[in-house]
Amino acid sequence: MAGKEGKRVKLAVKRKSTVGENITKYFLLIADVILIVFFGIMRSGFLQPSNLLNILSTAALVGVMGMGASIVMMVGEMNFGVGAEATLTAALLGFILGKGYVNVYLVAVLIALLVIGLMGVLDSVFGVIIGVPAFIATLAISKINDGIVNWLTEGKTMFYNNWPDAFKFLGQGRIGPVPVMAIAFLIIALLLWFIMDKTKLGTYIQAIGNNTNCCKQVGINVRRIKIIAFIICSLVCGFSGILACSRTSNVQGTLGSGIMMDAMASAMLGATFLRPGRYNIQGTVVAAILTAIISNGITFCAYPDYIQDIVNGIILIIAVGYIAMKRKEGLPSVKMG
Amino acid sequence: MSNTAPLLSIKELTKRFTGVTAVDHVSFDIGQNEIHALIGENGAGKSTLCKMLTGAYSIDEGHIEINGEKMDFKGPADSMKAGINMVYQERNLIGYLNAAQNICLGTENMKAGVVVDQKAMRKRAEAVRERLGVDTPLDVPIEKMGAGAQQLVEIMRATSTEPKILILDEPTASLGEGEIEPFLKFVKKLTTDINISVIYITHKLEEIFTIADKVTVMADGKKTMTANIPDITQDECVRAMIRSDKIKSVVVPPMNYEEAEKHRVLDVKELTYDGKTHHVEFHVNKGEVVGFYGLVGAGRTETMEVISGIRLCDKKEFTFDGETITSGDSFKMIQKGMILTPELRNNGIFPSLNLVENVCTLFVQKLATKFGMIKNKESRAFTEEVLKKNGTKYRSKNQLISDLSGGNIQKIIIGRSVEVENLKLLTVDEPTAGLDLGAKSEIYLKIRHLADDLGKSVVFISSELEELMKVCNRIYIFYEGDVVKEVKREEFDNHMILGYALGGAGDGR
Repeated sequence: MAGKEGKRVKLAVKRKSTVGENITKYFLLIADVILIVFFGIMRSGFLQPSNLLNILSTAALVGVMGMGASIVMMVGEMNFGVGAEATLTAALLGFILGKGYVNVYLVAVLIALLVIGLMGVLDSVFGVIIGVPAFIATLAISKINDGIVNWLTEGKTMFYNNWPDAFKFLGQGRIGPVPVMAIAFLIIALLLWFIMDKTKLGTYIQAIGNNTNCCKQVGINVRRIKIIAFIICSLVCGFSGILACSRTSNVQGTLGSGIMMDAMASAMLGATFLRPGRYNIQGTVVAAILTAIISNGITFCAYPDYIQDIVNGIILIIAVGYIAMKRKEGLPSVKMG
Repeated sequence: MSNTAPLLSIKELTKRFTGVTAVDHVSFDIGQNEIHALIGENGAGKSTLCKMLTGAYSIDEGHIEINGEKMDFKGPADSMKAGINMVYQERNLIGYLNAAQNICLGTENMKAGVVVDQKAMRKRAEAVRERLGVDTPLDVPIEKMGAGAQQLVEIMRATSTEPKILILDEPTASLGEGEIEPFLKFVKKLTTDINISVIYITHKLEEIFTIADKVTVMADGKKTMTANIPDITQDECVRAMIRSDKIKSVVVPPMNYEEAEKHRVLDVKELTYDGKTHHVEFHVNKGEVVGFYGLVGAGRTETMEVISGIRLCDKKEFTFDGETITSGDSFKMIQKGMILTPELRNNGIFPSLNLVENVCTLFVQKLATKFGMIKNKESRAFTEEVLKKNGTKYRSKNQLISDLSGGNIQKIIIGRSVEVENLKLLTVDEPTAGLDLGAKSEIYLKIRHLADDLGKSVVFISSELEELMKVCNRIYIFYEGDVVKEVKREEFDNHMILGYALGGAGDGR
């Protein structure tokens, strides 16, 4: 009997958005700007374009994986295997190039992405078609992926001398002064934003997360859209793995798991941005950049490392706490099982 | 194609689920521009029948003809193409999308093959709006609209495919009292303005007699009657709906108010909650059933939740059983002998626990040893006693409570609450929502039994005026958080009560 329901058929439109709502909507962006200004005051070198570009390329790893994770969250599911999928892609790429099965870098990338796309299919077979809660299904499949990674890397840090130079291009190359990582990040962000906000597929992905029954009723193939979401997620996360191994020129077993929690956090933090209560690409990007600003700024100011985690945590909890207070429905929940 | 064939002809439709025949050889016709009401109790087979019409269920026997042509629906898409569309009882909209986007959901216009064309969708929605003659805003997110406006958006979406037949499943269930009348007029207009026929499923007989041309009554999966509206009475409809043995009549003994006033159980003047002071001057006497009536959101539930200590409030002061109370959470209030059964039935149960656990959770202290171990045998015996006392139908005490029907769940919730030691006041909030007439009458009897035979007091909150008038000794009418009128049984008059509830002076308007 909440007073939400109107009393007239002709219902007047509710008020325009208030200042408080706008602060909620743009909290992350405001935090980004404030922190840049703050670190700029602390150390003037922080504001140099080269450093700002560095921040962007740091944000790329977390951001790309975060965007992948947020797509599955948009359909109301959860993929806990994003980290393992990234590692597996990197390990596959390193393995087939290193062992000399394939010599052309681009072909190897496509093969690795193909395999990881199939992992996305496997995720959705269990999570969507068979009906295991996706959270559990992806967790289980990520164990399989971990095992394959260990087998490919023989339990060590993978490094081959015969990796082509192109291997380093994505992670370490620059076009003019701009790191390729940053460019790749922006291209993927633009592409995913376009798909999610402008196309039918994106409209359906977001609609399904909001009201599955409604989508079924108007004849949207919910299963198919969910499967596509899982595949896109795996591909995007796989690509983040390729970026990561290219950046360090090696493949470690912890490559994916190291960024996964930050990526998940930026997806969730992103849901407080622009469209509070709904996961969105823009938010994930802004949140990932926020994380990068903090870590870069703290290194720049030569503060001890642990400060970074603490500050990150504080911002996360304040942002989600504020949203939870402001919104009656709280944060968008994701099926956990 | 002959012109004499009816628009839609349902021939001997039958649907069986494992062991149960949900729809049993039902046949009737629907003519052009006709509003055809479909009524029956819960589980009578109305929804199953309609799901066969929309292609959501396959047909086991019989067939459907449209304009004399035999149809074969493989899925909802086929049925939609043939001109049948349905608006379900629960809202099926995407909250953050606006009306135009919701109307075009699933059939988006595209620009250059990839980009969703918002402008074209808006134009299409405007065309639909024009055709229906409504003025729903198109660019406001659905979640910011009221229930009535949301309903209109769904009807707009359903009619955007230009159907010949529109099925409305209990469309007024989510509407407040004031919204219903304009809505019925709107439905009536639909049939003439845009040339469609409507199958109108409902529980509310008054609505049928206001708008329908024909009525088909179903009971136990069978059709019991199809009739033209002016030719029959409401009574005949009711008789066709239920086997008469299942409905029990409620007797309210006359009340001696002077005598009763001496034992006031609850006496309230003012409550402050949600930052506002509400004048809720009412009292409840011993052995009395008091009804709270008002529109959705008029503050009936809120008032009792504040008193029972469930809802936080800014300030409260009332007399309960001679004691002045200014604070106290629900735990304390239950100990004092006041309990509330929640508006949403599911908030009153543990859906994934069995009957014993559901009944006994309220009495853990009574049923536990001094070391805090639950006494199993006693718990089971106690459960059995409660179930038996309330005439609950169940298979085993170990079955999940969510397997039971709504009526039986409600009986358990009320039955369990009544067992609270030295209970003085029971509040039941919409206890009959979604129940069929037979189950409703059992709840009414239970409530009267509590008051008349056990001397308890009951506050009965309901949105159905008819049932309050049937059961209560007095009714308080709520309007925008305040009590605006007290009516004694002798003065009951539905026009007057409705008038007050709508904020008028009670002249019935």
